[in-house]
This record gives sequence, C-alpha cells and structure tokens, in this order.
Amino acid sequence: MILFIYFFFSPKNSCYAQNSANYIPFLLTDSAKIEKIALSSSNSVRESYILPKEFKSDYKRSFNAHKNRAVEETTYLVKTTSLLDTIINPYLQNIFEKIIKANPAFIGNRLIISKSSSRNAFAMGDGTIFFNTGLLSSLENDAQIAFIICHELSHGYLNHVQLGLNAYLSKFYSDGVRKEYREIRNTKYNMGKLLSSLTLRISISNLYHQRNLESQADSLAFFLMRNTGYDVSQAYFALEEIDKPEDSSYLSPIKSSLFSCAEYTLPKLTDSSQSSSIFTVKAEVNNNDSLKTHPDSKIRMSALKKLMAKTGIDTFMIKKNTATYGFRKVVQVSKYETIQRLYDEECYDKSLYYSLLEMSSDLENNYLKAIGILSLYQLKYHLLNHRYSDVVSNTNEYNSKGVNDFLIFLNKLSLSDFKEIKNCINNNYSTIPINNEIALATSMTSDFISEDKAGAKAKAQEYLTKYPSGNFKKIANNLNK
Amino acid sequence: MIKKYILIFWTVLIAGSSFSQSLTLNGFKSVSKNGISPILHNKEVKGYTLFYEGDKADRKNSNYVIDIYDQDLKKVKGIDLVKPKDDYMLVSNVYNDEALAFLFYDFKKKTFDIESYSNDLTKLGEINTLEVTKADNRTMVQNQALSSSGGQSAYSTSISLYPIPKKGFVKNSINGYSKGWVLEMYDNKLNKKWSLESGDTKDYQNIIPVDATEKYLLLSMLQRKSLLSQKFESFLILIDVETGKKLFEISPESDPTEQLSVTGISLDEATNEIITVGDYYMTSEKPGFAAGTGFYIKKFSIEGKEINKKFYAWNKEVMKVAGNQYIDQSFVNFTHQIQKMADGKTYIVVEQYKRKFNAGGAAMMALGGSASVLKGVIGNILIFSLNNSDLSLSGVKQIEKEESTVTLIPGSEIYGPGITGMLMKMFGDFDYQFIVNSANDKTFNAVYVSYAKEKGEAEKKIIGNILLGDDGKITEDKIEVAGKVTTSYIYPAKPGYILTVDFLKKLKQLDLKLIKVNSK
Repeated sequence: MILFIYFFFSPKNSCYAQNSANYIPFLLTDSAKIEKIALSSSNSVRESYILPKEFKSDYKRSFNAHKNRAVEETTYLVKTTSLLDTIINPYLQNIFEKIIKANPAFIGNRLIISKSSSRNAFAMGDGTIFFNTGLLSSLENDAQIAFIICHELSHGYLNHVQLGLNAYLSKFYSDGVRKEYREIRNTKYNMGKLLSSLTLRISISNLYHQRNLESQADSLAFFLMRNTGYDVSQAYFALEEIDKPEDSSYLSPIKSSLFSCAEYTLPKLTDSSQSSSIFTVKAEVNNNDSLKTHPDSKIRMSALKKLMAKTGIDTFMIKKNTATYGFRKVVQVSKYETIQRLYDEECYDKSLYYSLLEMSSDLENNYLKAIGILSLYQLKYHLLNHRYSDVVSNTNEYNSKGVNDFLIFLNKLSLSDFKEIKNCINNNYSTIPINNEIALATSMTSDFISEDKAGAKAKAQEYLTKYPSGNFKKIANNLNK
Repeated sequence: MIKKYILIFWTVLIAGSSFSQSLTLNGFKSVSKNGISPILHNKEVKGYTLFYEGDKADRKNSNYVIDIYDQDLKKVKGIDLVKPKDDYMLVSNVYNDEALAFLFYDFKKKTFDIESYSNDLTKLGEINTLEVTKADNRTMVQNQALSSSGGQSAYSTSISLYPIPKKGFVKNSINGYSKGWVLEMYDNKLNKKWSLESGDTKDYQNIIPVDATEKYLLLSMLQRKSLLSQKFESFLILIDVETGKKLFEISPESDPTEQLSVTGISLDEATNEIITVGDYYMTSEKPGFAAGTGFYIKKFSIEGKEINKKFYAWNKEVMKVAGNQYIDQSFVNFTHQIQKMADGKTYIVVEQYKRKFNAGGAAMMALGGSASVLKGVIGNILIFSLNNSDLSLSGVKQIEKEESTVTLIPGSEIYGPGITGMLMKMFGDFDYQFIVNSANDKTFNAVYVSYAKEKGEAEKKIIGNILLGDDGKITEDKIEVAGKVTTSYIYPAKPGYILTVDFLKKLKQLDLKLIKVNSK
C-alpha cells in the first residue's frame, strides 16, 4: 500500500453552508452494494500479489502475511468507510472517469471515496485507490484532485506496491541480514541494542527506496494529467497546499464568541505553546526526516517545476485556479462527513472541535449543532464513567495550536461545565426547528447534559418507539435506564 | 524494579500511543510498584520514571534503562545505564526545580550511587560507590523484601535523597550502630557541600526530612531509649541549607502536661512558620502506645518559638463540629497528611484503624508458627479543616468506605495502637495512598484504595478520590476497577487525574492509563 500523505483538513472553501443547514450525513442503506464492492476489491488486491519466481520459504511466509493483511484491510476499509453518497462520490468519480478516458491504459482501475479525517490517499496495488474525505479540504480545485488521483494511479501502473514489498522482503531475508541476525542471536551481550540497530538500518534503507518510488509516481502523474486537459501546474500547488500545516486563520472555538457567555467563565486555560512540562528536551518522535516515507514536498515541487519547464510550460506564469461552486460544495460536505466519521470513530474531542469551528461561520446549521451536542454528551457520559481519557486525547506536535488549546480546555472540564457549554451553544447558535431522528437524539442528549434525567428518559423512550433500529439506539438505551 | 525481556526480532516492543492518555508497554516479565515513580515539582506531578533491567551488557553488568515520561505519559527520553546485573535498585528519584537526581543501591557492592540530570536530561554529576553503613545495608535489604512482597511502601524514609529547591539534594542515612543519623548535602552537580552527623547518641534516633525551602531543611526526629522501647519522643530540627548548621532542635511539647506525637510537619515558606500536627495523649499515657485523646495543631516561628496551639478531643470538639455525622469512637485515628491550602485553611487527612483478635494467628502461634494474634481493621477517612489564622476547627468531613482487614506483622501485640498505626503505615496497610496538590494550592486530590486486602490487590477494588475543588468544597468520586490483571497499582498524576498501572503477566504487558477524576 502506498500512502500519499497524511495531515488534517484546513478550513477553506466554505460557502455551501447556507444550503446545508439540515444536512444529513450519508448513511449506508444498500449494504449488498458495499459487500459487492468489498468482495471484488479484495479479490482484485489478492490477485495483484504475485510471488517472485525465486524465493525462500521465510520470504513466502512473510509475503503471504502481507498479502492477507492487504486483503483484510481492503475489505475492512470498503465496508466501514466507503462513501456512496450523492454529492462527493459522483463528483470525484467524474474526475476519475475523465482521467481514465484520457488514459485508456488505466481502464479497470477503481476509485473509492473513504470517510476518514486523515489527509491521505493511497493505492492498494491492484489499481484500487482510496481517497479520504479529510484530504479534500486541503485542495483548491478539480485539477489538484486530478493530480492526487493520477499520482495514485501511477503507483498502481508502476507496480510500486509489489516492488516495494519485494525490495523490503529481499533485504529482510538477504543472506547478509540473516548472517548478521544469527550472529546477534549468538552474542551474549547487548543483544537488544544490536537488534534495534539492525532493524533501524533495514527500515531506513526501505524508506529511501519508497521515496524513490514517490518521485517516480509524481513524474508519471504529471504526464497522465497532461493528457486529461486539467491544468498540470495545479500539481505543483497541490503539493504546496498539502505541505501546509493546518490553517491558523480559523479562530479557535475557545477564543471565539462561542464560549463568551456572560453566565459561564472558562476554566483557566494554559496556552499549549507554553509547555507545562518541566523537561526542556524535545520529545522522542520517529518523525525526523530520515523516517519519512515521502520525499520533502519542496523537492517534489522543484522536480515538478523542472518537468513543466521541459514540457514547455512557463513556470513564471503559473497561478492557482479558483474553485468552482461545485468544488466548494463538495469540500463543505466532505467536512461534514469527516466530522461524522470522527464522531463514529469515538473521537469526540475532535468531532466537537471541528463542529464548533464550522458552526462559527455557519450560525444556523442544524447538523453541526446536533453533532456538537452529541459530542458534548459523549464527553460528559465518558467523564461520568471514568473513561474520559479514552475519548479525549493528549496534545501532540502533529496537532495545530487550536486543537491543542482545545484539548487542554477539555482536559480541564468538570461535570458541571458541560451544561454551561451546552447553554452557550444554544445561546449563540440558533436552530431551525425540524423533526427527524438526529433532532430527537440531540434533544434527549441535551436534556442529559442539562441534568434533566426525566426529560432525557422520556425522549429516549420516544426515540426507541419511533426509531427502534435507529442510529442512536445505544444512547437511547443508556438514557432509558 | 521492573524486568524486561530482551528485544525480540521483528516485533515492536515499546509501542506507546502517546496521543491518547494511555500507554501500553510490552516485553515486561515482572513489575514492582517502585519500578515506576512520579516526579514531583511544587507538589504537582510533572512526570514519571520507569526503571527496568534489559539484557546483559557484559559478564558482570546489565543494560538498565530509566525511561522518563512527562505528566501526559509522553516519552521524553530514555537514559541508558550499564550497572551491575540483578542486584541493583533505583531507591528514589527527586526533582528540585532545576535538577533531577536518582539514588541507586548496589546490593552486591553495598554502595549507593547518585546521578543528577538537568531539565534537558543531560548528566550534571555522578557519585559512585558512596559508602554505606551496616545499618544502611540492613535497611536496604529489609526494604527490598518489603518492596517485592507487597510492593507497597517500598522504602524506609530513614534512607532517602531529599530535594532542596534549586540548591541540591540531601541524603540521609543511618549511622553504623543504628543509633544516630548522617546528613550529606550535595549541589546539583553532586559536589558535596556539607555533612552533619548525630554521632553515637545515648538514645536511638531516627530522622526524616519533611520539608525544605531554598534556606531551610526541616527534619522530624523520633527518639527512643532502646529498640524495644514503647515510648517515642518527637523533635523538630531546622537546618541552614547553605552551611548545614543546626538552627534549633525542639520538642513540640512545650508544657510538662503535654504528651504529643508528631505525624505531620510542614514549613510555610510564605510566613516562615512551622506547623506540626499529631495526636495528644493523657499525661498518664505514652505517645504511640495508647490511643490518642484527640489531635493537636501547633505553629512555631522559624526561631523555634511556639506561636499558637489548639487541642481537639475526638469525643468533644471533633464530634461537635462533625454535627450529624456518626463517627465510630472505637477506632484510633492515624494522621496521613496535613495540607495548607490557598483558601486560608489547613486540611488534615486521617484514617481510622483499630486492632482485633486474630483467632487464626493465635492458633498458629500455639503451634509454634510465626503470626500475630492481632489483625488490623481499617475504617473511614476523616478530613479536618482548620482556619490558618487562629487554628480553629471549622469542618470535619467523614468519607465512608468499606471496612477492610489486614494481617499485622508478628509481634505487633507487644506495641500499643500508636506504634501499630506506624507499622501499618510502613507496610502499606492503610487504604490511603497519596495526596496531590495543584501547584497553586487551590485544589487537592487525596486518593485511597478500598479492596479485600487479604485476597490481594488484583481483586476488584474501589479507587476513592477525595477532592478539594476550586470552590473550597470537598467532594468524593469513586472509580470501580475490575480485577482481571496480575498486578495493579495506582500513582499520583497531574491535577484532576490518577494514574493506574495494570500488569498482565501472560501478555508481558504493562498498561498505564490516566483517569480523570470527576469533580462537580
């Protein structure tokens, strides 16, 4: 599997808001269709793994283990994350078809849109590409989407999954490594350090190989894209956008008007940039340049610029394209779906954070308010049951400052704060009255947050009667106890 | 100490998820409670050390690692050490605002080692083969046995390294004949600044450093005529940190009619006052032997002059303030902690205990076995709050919990309830575990664990959290912990949290988890 890149989404392109106040997230209704896609994708992935002609028994065992894991992962991803909605999926499939039409050698490849917050796209080796919704909001136009798809198609065409795996396993089971391993196992002393050093050397060697494959995929993607009619210079800007950290132009929810209620005083917040750690040593992380799977974006951008110059494009004249209405709509919906996915994955800290961020520019959005209240309920419920640390993560250097500040804020909350926060949300953001499943679920959880047990119970009973197999049945059962 | 398996090829061993507030560490074959210890700064937990022995470094030595984690369980750094294999122990780690120091004990060589590190964890100094007395060695062997048996109260406080804010560290130890004590002060780079010895005293003396500022070191001293003596006398000693000069040595008893024990002492840097708390006894009774009549609180000036004192009888003043709460008078109270807070009050945490006849123990003794004819019964926790201005008792809060029974060490019957309480504290028999403050002294979290102790700590248990909130109110939160693990420990954590550590022997797995405590 080749990963494209990973980060989280940035807050651009939000103009679909006015039309999406009552957005209902995509819910799978046709499970047979998903089963069919999962089966055909996993079979295709299985068939794409071909053992080299010469191999040793250990190699075969590891190769098969990798193959089985890829098959299982494909099945799991399709079943749990694939998005067959009516907005994002058709839009991206349309771009994908345009690319295939211009590059017929790629007929038979497939694109699966995956509901995931990770800013990532990846190829499975058989021509199946997963494109995460979290990546969409990092991009600016259709051409940039096209470049990402072309990049992943190139990995498939150039057989990179197979090549990468073979290179890794060949190194792993090479006579030299085997000999060194045997020698280490026979040493009496410092075995741990010697084994760690050997493993690190193999990993680094493999990563350098992977970087080379990424550069190849960028180059081929450039030519595939050129066949489509999309502006190839946008490939350059796609890399630039993806390399950017999360956008800081968003006002952090804790500093916005959201919590500026006269009745509620925020728990005193420590600025995440002023580390409260007594240690001045930088935390040990395995993310220094030597362990990245991808070459530095600036190197990739520079290589693309050279390609443009070689193919007659005036690189001094290239500029960003503006987004169309359709693109902006897709990005907005992808944000909702990503927030929903965060909620479904029990990342209630992040689902609350991003729903609040979106709400700050979309004051009357029922869906965002609902997911915000539901996230708040889950946080309070987990705090009450001493499982708060399962759903509220630590600050870390991969998060933006806004996210880290928010996590510090969440970690300082007491049970009584939740009611106040909910009141703040209600005061600052209005709702258009609506009668549907998510509205009832929001109402019952809202009562729970307000410590109105009787109200929550009555609404939970109503929910269970109206929606006996509803999506919030578990919550209703908890509140009905 | 913790023992860890050698790295096995192709497996990821230390696979910690630092994004969540939990951490799973693999490859451990045994644990003891003192293998993990919190790092405290201004009474607030700022990190943890995890000390373990890895593979062999050479014929005589092993590779040891001290992994340092911050308060959120994010790994900061691993310090590699090559030290004598097997019989080597991390006795304590302390932090003094500018440097972190580790005290080790080498059981084979019978020596102490100290290493100090700066905030960026570069080594500042090292002392190897610090000579020990026979008494020190004997105490360390006893401590090792204590640590490996129950893992509870790992070390005697008679040997420790005590942090002096910004100035260095003081090591205290027992002199060669167990009668006196030795104090040695080192700066952050472990250069020796001074030493102070009691010499061979007439009586048996035992000192415990209890508090320190950049200027003063406060010690509590217990003195008795002989090792079997039932009468203990308490003293306060104040030392000048710069010179090592003894500024005063006073008894908390300022009146011949007073019979006092000292269970809590603190030095208030802001007011330069010393507060002592303990039980008081009838003049005809011996402190530590009989059950106390009540508790007292005294304030002394930095010159050792008594400023104020108050006495509160259990069955009079305490009951009066307790109001409607029923407090069982058959128990004796053991003072665990005194905590002066920013709300103008001093909180005293005590736990009830009593002794009862142990029929099984008596039968074993009759058959020539080694057992105690007494068992210890642990009752409720009481929190007393006193106004700092006049030391008046303003509140009594009883935290009710299940009674639990513990087996007392053989020979307990020859001592009175006072000494029994001290022995129970030393052996980790009480439910009370620790108290942690916020650095601003506005909130605290006193933690106890309630479980059937005779069945072992892996049984289902309740972790009780007694919280003083920002609003000055004391609330309680109980966490139920299922007992499906081989060994389970709890540790202090950042404000509002506790750290649970579960060891799953079959999986060779250590699970560390920060649990947020509920406050209203």
